[in-house]
Amino acid sequence: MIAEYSSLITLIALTAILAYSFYAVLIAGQLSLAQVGLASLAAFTSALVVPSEPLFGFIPPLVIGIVFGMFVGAFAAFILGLPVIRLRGVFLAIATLAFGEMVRIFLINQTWTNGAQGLSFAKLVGPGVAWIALIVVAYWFWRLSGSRLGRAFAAIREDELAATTMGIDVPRYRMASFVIAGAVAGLYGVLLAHFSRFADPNEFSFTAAVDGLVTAVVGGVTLFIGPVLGSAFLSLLPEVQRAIGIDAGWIRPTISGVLLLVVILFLPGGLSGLIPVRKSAKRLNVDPSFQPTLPALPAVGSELVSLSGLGKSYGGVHAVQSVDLTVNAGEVLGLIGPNGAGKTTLVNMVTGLTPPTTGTGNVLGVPLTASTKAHRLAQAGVARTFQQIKLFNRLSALENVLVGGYRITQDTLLRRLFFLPSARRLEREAVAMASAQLVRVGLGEKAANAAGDLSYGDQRRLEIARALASHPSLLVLDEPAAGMNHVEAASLSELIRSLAADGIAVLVIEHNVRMMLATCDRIMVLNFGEIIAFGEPSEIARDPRVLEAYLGSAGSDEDVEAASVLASETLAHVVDDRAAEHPEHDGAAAADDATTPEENR
Amino acid sequence: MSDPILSVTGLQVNYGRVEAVRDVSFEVPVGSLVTLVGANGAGKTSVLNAVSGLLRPRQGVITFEGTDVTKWPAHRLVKAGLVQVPEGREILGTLTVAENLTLGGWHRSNSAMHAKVAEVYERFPVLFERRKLHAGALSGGEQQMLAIARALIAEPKILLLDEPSMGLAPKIVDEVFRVIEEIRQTGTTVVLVEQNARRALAAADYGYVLETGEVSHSGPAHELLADEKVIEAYLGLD
Amino acid sequence: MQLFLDGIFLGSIYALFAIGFTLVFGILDRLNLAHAAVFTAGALVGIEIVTVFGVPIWLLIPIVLVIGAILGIAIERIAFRPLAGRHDAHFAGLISSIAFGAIILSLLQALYGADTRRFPADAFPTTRVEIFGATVSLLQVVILIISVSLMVVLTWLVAKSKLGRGMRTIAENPHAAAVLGLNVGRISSTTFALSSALGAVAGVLFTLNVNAASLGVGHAVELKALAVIIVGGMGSLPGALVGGLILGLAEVLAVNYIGSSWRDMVAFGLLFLILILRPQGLFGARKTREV
Repeated sequence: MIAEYSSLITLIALTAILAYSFYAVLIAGQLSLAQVGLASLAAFTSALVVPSEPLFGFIPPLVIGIVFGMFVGAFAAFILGLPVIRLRGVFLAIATLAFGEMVRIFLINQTWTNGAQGLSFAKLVGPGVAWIALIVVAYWFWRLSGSRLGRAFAAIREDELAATTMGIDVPRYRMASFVIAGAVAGLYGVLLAHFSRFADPNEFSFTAAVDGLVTAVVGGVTLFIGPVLGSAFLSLLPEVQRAIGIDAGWIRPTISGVLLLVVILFLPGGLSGLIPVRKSAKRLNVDPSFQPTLPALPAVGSELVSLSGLGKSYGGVHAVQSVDLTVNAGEVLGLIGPNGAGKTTLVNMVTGLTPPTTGTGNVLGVPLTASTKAHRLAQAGVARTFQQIKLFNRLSALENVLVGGYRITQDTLLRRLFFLPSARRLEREAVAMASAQLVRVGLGEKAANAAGDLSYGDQRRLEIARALASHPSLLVLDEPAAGMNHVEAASLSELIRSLAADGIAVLVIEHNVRMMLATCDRIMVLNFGEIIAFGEPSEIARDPRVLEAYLGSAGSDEDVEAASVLASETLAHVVDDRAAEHPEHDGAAAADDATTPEENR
Repeated sequence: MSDPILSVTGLQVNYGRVEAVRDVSFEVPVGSLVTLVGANGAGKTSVLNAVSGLLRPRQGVITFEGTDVTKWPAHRLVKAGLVQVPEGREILGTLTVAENLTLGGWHRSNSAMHAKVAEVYERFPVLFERRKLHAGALSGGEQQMLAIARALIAEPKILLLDEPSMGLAPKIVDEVFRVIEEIRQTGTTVVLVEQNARRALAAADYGYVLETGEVSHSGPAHELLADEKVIEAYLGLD
Repeated sequence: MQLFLDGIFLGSIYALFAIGFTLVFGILDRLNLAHAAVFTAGALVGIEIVTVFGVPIWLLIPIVLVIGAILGIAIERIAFRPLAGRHDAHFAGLISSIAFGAIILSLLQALYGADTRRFPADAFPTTRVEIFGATVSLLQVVILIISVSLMVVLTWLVAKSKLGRGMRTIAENPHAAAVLGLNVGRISSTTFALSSALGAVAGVLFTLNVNAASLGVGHAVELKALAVIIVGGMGSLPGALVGGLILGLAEVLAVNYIGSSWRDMVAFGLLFLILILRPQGLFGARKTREV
């Protein structure tokens, strides 16, 4: 009975290993179709080195083949990755597909592979070896999924730019997933050749690559067990059909096609989506004893950012012209100005997303140059949020914040592989730190919700928690109060003040002028890329140029002057309120004067 | 109150398992300006999208000019005169301003569309000046004007505006509200969804306050503006 | 000269297939991998129609266009539309179109078996003509005329017609298109119908050219078509035309000067190089993302 199915059992394991090599790139958001090409390279080159007798009398030939094949697969993936790693989505898929086909054509035209006639291999692989290999691979991916490395892959898959600003070196990690996938593909190639005893390069074709991809996607990439499920399902399907007597040549592929369509249309997470999972990273840990001690923030008042003549122009258009600025630890610096004034461009330069075209700058010891990488600045202690919210939508709120802690946590994969107690301790600490940030922004109740399901305001708060999780010295907030009402904006303002009190320097862009006047220590006003005013809130509120360019007035031209006066009075009123720290007054009447001067006419 | 041009009864909208809108009913009289206000996640945009046919409601009835339009797709509603200006403006950045406006008249004859475009250029001279520019090159305020102007080309009987002031400088917000006032003075009914509740209520005839997918307060806008409970919860007590 | 003409014939068929491919990608941002199955269906059904009814070529082409269009609508409805709004629509669309393609192929196998099929020997005139010292068959000239005119009509449609304007609007922003009152579902269906109609006709013309078709014929051309649309620029119709002609010529020259065993290296080498040096292709516009 077992003997009868032994080749089926072996093939399930081998197909699952191939699917894991697709899984390894898919979890980092990449689609590579080079996997069977890499497998074929590994298989044929292994024929050159696998000895017929154990090496030194005790190392089995297959072990040599596996080690060599995995190395070849990983190395070839690295070489392929050098030029193609910057491609995305369909383009990456097609480039890797082309590589796979080029490998196939190359091998067919070589004499040492015996060309299209194919090559014989020793029969070294049976069900036992295949399943041991599969279990090792699956174990590795299981331990990867909860590690810092695994979370970094997930972050890149969800949003590369956000991942970069967490301090994750995205190209390096994408390459890592490529190389891991290459090693697994090499393993598959060597095992397959030494199982089927014969291989010709045409077996490693586009169709085989598509089958591998289909297996991985049907199994699902949300859970490490997906490739095994996909392989078992797709390998057993024809057997079941044969057993119940459906054998006409065309019926089998039809049924397989329909089932595949059903799985992909109605099971979005693949087969593994059917398995209910208990995710430890969904629960808060608010036990203060797990809070690790973090390195101290820079002393209040010390200079963190210094910009001198920093500017950016796009093809002759000056988005930002010559900005001189210093930001000190513990202060809240506001940035206001009309849309298109260059505010976001300026903070993009400070956070390393946009290289400056003129001037110099230094942020937390990192000089701003054309080649400054955003993840380097993030590692130095810069964290930010985005005007267009960039969360890792399919991860839970807590997982989002855990990724935010990338900078101050250690990688746990190796420890997790060997179940070291220190792995558990490090994970608990990471969860405790993340939980504290979630609670701080008021999202403690929603830790397990997927970020994409949160309301707009909660998403804004989650982004702030994620930024705070990196224990930043400089926090950049780009329109954090957009879409918040007065009440929510007030509590945000309180949060910002308390962060500054902790010693964090906060740089805020915001249109809610009332909130800005009440929150910031200094405010810089930009218009057409130029600084038109810079000073304390009370000065800004009275500056005629600011009123003209930004606050302005409604109504016809003759009203402008009167309205400006009115606006400056009411703004001054707001500032005075803050200075006096006198919260109880007739808010209903004064509340929106700051933004709607004409209503008081 | 004259006959409502739009009425919504018992609306419920779900996203997967999340109930975005639980039970919302409201009426919009012909020629009025009605505003829906409320905090984040209260379901304002979901209500608007369900009314526009962009989302299929789970329950409830939407009536437009006396006809049940609950199951109508968006393109049919636009043709019938129910037009939305979406949140985030959704202008087509790689097309020119003029091309964007032309698309607004998808269901109109060429001559009617061109007449309407000329009319819109008169009202928004800045768009006429920039008609050959890519819409993506406009400033945020100009893009909002373009989005409104584009909707007007479809000759709406009722115009739904979703957060027209979001992300705009105070000076520009004033302008947007002035344009809205002008539109309703030409007889077009307006439904305004706004985060800036105070501004919206000041401009509107009737207001509905949404809270976690339900209407918590409603009535003439000036009464809501004076209602202490509303002030406390939504308008801020500074 | 003979080589040049052969290259042009081959290239025009690649281009016709690739234009259908790139149309769907350009407008809807989806790679439809069932396109190869439509190509095969066009070839095999075309042979069947000629064998049974003996219709002339000028009648065959419109019939196959209609069959292709129907298949295209089915693909859009069944394999793509249910995925709308899903976060993994890209991957899922690849897989669901592979599945749908496999279903089409297995049904073709049920109808016509797995063997290679040919047009009846006397179905079309075999007149040969001499042009610039090279011999071409009348059939090849007809193939060239049909594929070029279909491409011209399609390019005009997308660039100038109201339907084309709708397609380009959806390509840029489907949500805005819906808000503006465009019937997004119908325009998507129409795009798929056009794309598949061209794919099916490409299948017939390809089969006419080599007079043999089997179930696997679509796959080989699909890989070439991917090379064509990358070389020409994803989503660019003129790019697909020029890319097709370049590839057709390059292959014919490669067979002649290097050897047929290396022929396929040309397509993939070219594709790989273009992706590395100029990912947007010869005619594609570089899409920039906003921060």
